[in-house]
Amino acid sequence: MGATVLHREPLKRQRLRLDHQRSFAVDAAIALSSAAALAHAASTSSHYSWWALSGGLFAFLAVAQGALAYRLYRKPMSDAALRVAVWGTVAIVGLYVVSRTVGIPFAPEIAGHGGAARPGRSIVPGANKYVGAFDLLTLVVELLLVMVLTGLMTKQTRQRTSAKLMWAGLAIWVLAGVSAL
Amino acid sequence: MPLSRRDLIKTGVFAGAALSLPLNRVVSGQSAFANQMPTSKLPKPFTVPFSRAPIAVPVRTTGTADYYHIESKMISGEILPGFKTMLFSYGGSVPGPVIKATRGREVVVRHWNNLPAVHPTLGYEPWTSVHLHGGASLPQYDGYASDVTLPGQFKDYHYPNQQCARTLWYHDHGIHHTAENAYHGLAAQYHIHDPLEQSLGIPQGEFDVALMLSDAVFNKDGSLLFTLANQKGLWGDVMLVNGRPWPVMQVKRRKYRFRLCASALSRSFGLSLDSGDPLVVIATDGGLMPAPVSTNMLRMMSGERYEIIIDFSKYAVGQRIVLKNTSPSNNNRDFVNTNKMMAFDVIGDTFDTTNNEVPAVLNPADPVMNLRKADAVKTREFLFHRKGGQWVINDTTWKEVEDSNFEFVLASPRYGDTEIWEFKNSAGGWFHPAHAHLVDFRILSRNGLPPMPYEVGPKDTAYLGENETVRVLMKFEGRGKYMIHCHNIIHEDHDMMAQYEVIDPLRPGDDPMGTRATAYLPTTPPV
Repeated sequence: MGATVLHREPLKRQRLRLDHQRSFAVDAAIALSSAAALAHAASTSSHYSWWALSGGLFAFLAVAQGALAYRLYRKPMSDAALRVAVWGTVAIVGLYVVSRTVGIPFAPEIAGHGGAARPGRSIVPGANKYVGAFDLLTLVVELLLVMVLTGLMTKQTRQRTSAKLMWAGLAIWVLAGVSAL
Repeated sequence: MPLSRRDLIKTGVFAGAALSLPLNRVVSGQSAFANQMPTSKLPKPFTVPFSRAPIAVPVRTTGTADYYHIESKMISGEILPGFKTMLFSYGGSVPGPVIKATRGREVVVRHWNNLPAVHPTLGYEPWTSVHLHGGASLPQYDGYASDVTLPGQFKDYHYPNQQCARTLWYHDHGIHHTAENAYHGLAAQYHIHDPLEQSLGIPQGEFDVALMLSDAVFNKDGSLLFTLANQKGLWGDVMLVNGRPWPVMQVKRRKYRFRLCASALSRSFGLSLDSGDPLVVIATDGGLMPAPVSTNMLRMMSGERYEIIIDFSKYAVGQRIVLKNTSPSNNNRDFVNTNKMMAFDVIGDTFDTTNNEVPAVLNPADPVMNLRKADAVKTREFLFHRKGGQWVINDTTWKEVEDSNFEFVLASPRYGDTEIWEFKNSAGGWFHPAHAHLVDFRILSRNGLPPMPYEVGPKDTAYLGENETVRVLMKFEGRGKYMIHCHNIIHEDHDMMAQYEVIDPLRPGDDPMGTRATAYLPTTPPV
């Protein structure tokens, strides 16, 4: 009997339920983007003291991800805008992974341990950074944001984007397998 | 429209890949412990005999100076019974030989780095820089972290020994690898004696015993396990005294003077006797206290030294007294037997009855202990904290010093000035031993309260516990640039170092990088 009742759920109610699902996904994207913005804002000062360009990038990311949260809050985003948001976030993730593995080649020295130092100097330029709990947590937030934003796309765009993300993931595995990451 | 299962798997491939690489770095650090020697294979406490550090023998003496030649070299030693351990040694022993100096008589030590070009297991180039901790050395002989001696090179260090009697120690200070080098054995004591100290009747000679307190963790093959997986520090499950695990020492029924030096990378100690009797503290880092202080628990951090007297005459022959360790911080890592350091077994042998006293007055005229707060011309603050994943002092690291071509300083006190320095640790997750080179200081307060009674003596390293502020008073009587840093050596290696410069308008200080090491060749003349 119960199954029959559910099957006969009025169309208006079904729409309301779907709207609620959609709004939950959007709310999640807003929350995740806001959290990522805050994380970047909190890290701007320390990154600026390490490398001005890095500090500038963090400030930009904080503003950009804050703007994304605001945009999501204000009105639905088109697929094109969502694609920009997804691949922008993927770029952030990629930069983080590189910084924690092979290091950013053109970055200045990082104080502390990590590799073959020149005598009397800190470690070589571009050597990788320490993996901390805060940045791992932020990485998880960024990855969830990628997934939620992808989920907001229309079916065709979503399928294409998730396929590209899969290939990107496989590429990371391959690079790690050949010790390039 | 939410993600379909298929889309979820596809995006999950990306998320998994992106997350796995950084996570792998964390996990691989932790997996270093997978090969750790199990507790069941470690020696039982108090089954290994105590061993004294050897006394260094000068290769040459003149009317005014003693000359030593100490080779840093790799050796195979036995720390855990039945296992061979690769160690770095000063002169072939761990700890290295004790240098006995006399106040006013110069000591010159030729430190020859004869370590391998690459550490056999850790893969770094083991350059060295030797710091005489507690010594007022000229900047170029102070073990400036960036003034390194490469394998195959040597450097002559000159020590004027103008300071009063004290327990110093010499240890590696090479930039970014101090922890590995010291952990593998590059540490030893250095004693300055003077007429006052020798006239007080306190124990001397056989009854004046150097104790290097440290900890270590071992792999299953007996090699030292070293990992930087945790930048908070490295805590071992084996407590070492003079490189021996939980040793037992035979003692005669009289007073002994123990020169305690906390040389662990990260661990702090809380020392006491299981008999409940107090430890009588007679000297701090910078020498004799104004008067002895009895304490039931002595708290020490890496870099600190205390001289204590234990009177074994009150114990019966055959009695065992244990020197216990109660962790003074929740931020240490404790293991099954880290709550004990060593044991003393009382024997009935005859003994020399001279120098068997603890006078009520020791050195009330110590100039540092007579500095007046009112004479301080400036108060400076040094905040030891963690920022952006880095250990920093006042938001700076040693990198700022390097980037400035070693010009950047956190403070520029004038020669002869007295200042108050305030060391602050605003965090609850770790502690820092705050060490200033060159100077002795007097601790004025700890979180606004008087210092511990046993800290009322000249110091050069302050225990900076969680959320603590320690104010110290000091007078600057050297010239030039000197380091100030955290003595948790893992923090130190991760650049929690800075420098200050004592300015004398009439005479500039020497350049700490001004006298560099040179290649050691068969034709090199002796020291």
